Amino acid sequence: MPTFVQQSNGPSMARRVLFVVLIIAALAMLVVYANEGDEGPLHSAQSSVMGATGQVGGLGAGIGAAAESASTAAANATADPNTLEGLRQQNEELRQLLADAEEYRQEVDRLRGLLDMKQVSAVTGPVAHVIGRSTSAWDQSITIDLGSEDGVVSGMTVMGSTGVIGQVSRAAEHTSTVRLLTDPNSGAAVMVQSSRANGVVRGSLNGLLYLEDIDEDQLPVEGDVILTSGLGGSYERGLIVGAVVSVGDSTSNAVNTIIVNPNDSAEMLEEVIVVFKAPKVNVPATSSDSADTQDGETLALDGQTESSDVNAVEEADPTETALQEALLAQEEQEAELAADEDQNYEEYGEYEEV
Amino acid sequence: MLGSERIFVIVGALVAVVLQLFVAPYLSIAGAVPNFLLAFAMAVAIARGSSAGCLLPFLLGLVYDFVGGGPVGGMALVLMLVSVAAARGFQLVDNDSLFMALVPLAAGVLVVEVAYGALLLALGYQASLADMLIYRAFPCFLYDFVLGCILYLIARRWARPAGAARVELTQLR
Repeated sequence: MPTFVQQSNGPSMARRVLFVVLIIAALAMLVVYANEGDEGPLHSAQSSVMGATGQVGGLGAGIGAAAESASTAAANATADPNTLEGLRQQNEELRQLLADAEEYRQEVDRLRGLLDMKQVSAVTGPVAHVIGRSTSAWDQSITIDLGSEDGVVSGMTVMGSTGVIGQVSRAAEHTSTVRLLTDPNSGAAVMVQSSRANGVVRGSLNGLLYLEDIDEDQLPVEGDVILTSGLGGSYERGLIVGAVVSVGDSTSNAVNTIIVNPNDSAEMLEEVIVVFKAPKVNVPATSSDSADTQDGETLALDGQTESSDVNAVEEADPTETALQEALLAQEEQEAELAADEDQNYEEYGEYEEV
Repeated sequence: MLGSERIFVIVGALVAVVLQLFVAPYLSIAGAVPNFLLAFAMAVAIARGSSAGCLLPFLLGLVYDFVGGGPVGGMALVLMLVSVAAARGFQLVDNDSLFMALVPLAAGVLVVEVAYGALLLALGYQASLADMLIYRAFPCFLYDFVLGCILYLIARRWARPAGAARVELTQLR
């Protein structure tokens, strides 16, 4: 019998020892992880790794752009100098400008959506960029580019352009992990806007939000708006979570039968608002039950009602600043694009004549 | 000195980590995210048979735990145990055909997904067993099994120990 087969009949003692040691190490880490708090060493290390990988992901995009530029430069370098080199170069620049302008336009649209949301809900807080998404099927979370150095702490509410999307679950120095509402481990205390019935919205593995723990006589109907109630202090109060899209036939305390449409999906998120402070508003009233509004402050929903103190935010608004900068940059890009285009056409006309 | 198969395993593991970090999140289908680390570890375990160690699946599982947000040590433990068992099982079958290799590969990937889901549930993950199986374990199993088949075909060529060919020749005689 060959020597290899004899050696492979069983692992050596060293391999067995290593196997046992690794099992013990894995079990020890599991036990420590399950019993330590969010500030424990394993949680902290995990948060740091997730933040670092998110930042590296951003670098990866930069590397990709650099590689594309190098490729373009190489293509230009190999071109025949007697051809339309100048026009080609200008064409490339115009294309780049066009791409940049399109990027700015999309960014402006997104920031405008966020700004609208900030204005109608009158929250204060910085805009964060999404720099990473969950690499696991079991975890619905995103990584953003703001961390504890920027004032972000665990537990803060995070909003997209259409409402609440989740909560900061871990804050590292320069990045944070946001657990989305659609994660099965998420739970937000909410209320039905029309009936003021309190309940809990939970995520699920199928990506839907379920409204649970609702009183039997206060079951919502399709279209009812769901807002955070602020109970328990986990989420800021009065922020839009979504609207009821389906109510099952079950009666009291329906579980998994009342479906709420989630806000922006994780795949579409590029910028989010970290809510530092939400106004002390009463839960908004609809036209049918406006008598319930106590201080005359209302929260606008989908642009149907206007907040009476939209401009009450005293601090400089980072979203507005970002929007203005983006608009200015877009205008400059468009002007430059138009000027270059005219010049290009002129030169091309001259070339054709020649 | 490192043999070519070990170089393949090391480079492949690094590539799998990179793919998991930067590509996998964008390949999500209906909530199922591909697990390159699991697929690579299982493919190498089946390809190397008794020569497969326990360190690679442990390390890849640990990477998954740290970047995936799950309980640290969970995937490391499950992946190591299942890959070692699958490798030993494949060795006991004593049939080196492609089909017989894919059976333990499929079984291993499925067991890892279900066992990891069960572990999460035991640690307080807010989902039912049925939801776990229907919405995560089975879709992820299908995804990872397809990846595992591709990676196995590669690993079969590059990750097998040098003596494996001699064993096959001996069996043929």
